[in-house]
This record gives sequence, structure tokens and C-alpha cells, in this order.
Amino acid sequence: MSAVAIPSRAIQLLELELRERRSHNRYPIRLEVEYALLNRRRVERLGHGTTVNVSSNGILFEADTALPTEKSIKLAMKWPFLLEGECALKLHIRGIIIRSVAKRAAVQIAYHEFRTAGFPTPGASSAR
Amino acid sequence: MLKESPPQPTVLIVDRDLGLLFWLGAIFTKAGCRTIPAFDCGQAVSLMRKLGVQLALVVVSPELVEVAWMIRTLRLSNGHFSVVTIADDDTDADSTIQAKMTLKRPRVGESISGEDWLDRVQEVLRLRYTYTGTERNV
Repeated sequence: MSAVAIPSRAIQLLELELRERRSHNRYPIRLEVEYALLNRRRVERLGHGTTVNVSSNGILFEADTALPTEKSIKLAMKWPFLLEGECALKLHIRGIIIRSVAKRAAVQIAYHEFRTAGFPTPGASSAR
Repeated sequence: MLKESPPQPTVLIVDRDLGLLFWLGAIFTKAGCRTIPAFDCGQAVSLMRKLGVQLALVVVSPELVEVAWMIRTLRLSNGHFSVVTIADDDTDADSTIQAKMTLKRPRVGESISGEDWLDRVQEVLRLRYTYTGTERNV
């Protein structure tokens, strides 16, 4: 039986400590993320980064450059746990940058959805 | 003769908490499963229709709307799978779901260990194999 390999860049989870007492648990999840910074619905900048932590309503990530606060942003991350290359799932997030320190940007999530990718889904729209 | 590897069981995880979805995704992967995440029951059914994979287990928050509908709908296309709920301390058990087990949602600020969760998940997966084909709506 083949061993299951967790993607190396994915998650260092097995000794998770939730240290911070906040209104939501924050999970230290490391995943590559692509972003599109928006300005009045137009893409102002495309870039990439790595998530630092994820909670139910926000994501902190380290971008390739410093990002301005109060801007709308779209993020896309691959779901790393669907194995054998059968299909890909991507998490699509829309939100607002509420805090930015150096290259770290905190995004408050307004909308998120998993979408299939990697094979055609004719006529597919968002879930229900 | 080479023995064929058993297929990896597929686990559907449905919860509003994005962090928890990733956390459980990693733990179930470590336990030898592949996982499909969804934020709500409608999205879960829609994703499963698109992916068309056979489910072994559904892990779901009983507080989501239409959980019973989701389970019925998925069973129509998938056949049997076990259900495990993930709930807060004060969540009442939903008898219509008939979960085999309840995993406790981590409280805010609680220290949790990946090893503990891996143990719990492996217990959940052992439950999956206890199905004999005579149970109804487990």
C-alpha cells in the first residue's frame, strides 16, 4: 500500500497550538495563493504569496509585495488533499484587505467557494 | 503476485469554518483518505455531482441547514456511507442525522494536538468498516 504523501508545502499541522484567544480559531496553514488586487472591479495587480494562517472569516498571507488596505481582493488556493490527480479543487475567495504590515496582508472574507478545476464542467455555475 | 492497494476512501467534509476544513483535510489525508471540502450542504451536493466519486464517510456540522436533505440526496447516488458530526459542546444531537460519532469542534484558544485528532479520525475510519450491510440510515 502506498504511503500518503501530504504535499510538502501544504500544512505543518501535526503539532498545532492555537495560542491566540480570539473570536475565531486561526489555523497555521501554509499554502500557495494567487491574488488579484481589484480597483472598482478592475484588476489592478496580479501576484502570489503564501498563507500564514486561516480562520473561518479571514486569511493572513504573505504577498510578493506590500498591499494597500481597504482594497478588494480575490484569492485562489488549490485544495491540496484530493490525491491521485483525479481532479483539482480550488478555493476562490473574495474579500477586503483590512490590515497590511510589510508584505503581510489580512483579508476579511466576504465570499468563498470551492470550485472544480482540471476538467470541463459544461454549463456549470456556482453551487446552488 | 502483487497485492493491489486498497482504494483510498473519500471523505466529504462540510463545515462553515475554512480553517477547520483545511485542518481536517490534512488529518484525514494523513490517515490515508482523500477529502472533498464544502462550506454548505448545497455546495456539497453540487460538488459531488461534478466529481462523481464514491463516498465512504461524511463529516458534517449538524448546525448547517439541510443536512438531512444532503445525506438523503448523496445516499441516493452513492449508496451507503457513514456520518460523523462535528459539533460544539452545546450543540444538540440531531437524531435525523443518526451520526455514528461526534467530533468536538476545537474551542477558541484551545490547544489541540494533531496526534490526538489523528487518533480520533482513525477511530472514525474504523467505524466505517463495521458496517455490515444490515444497518439502515447509519
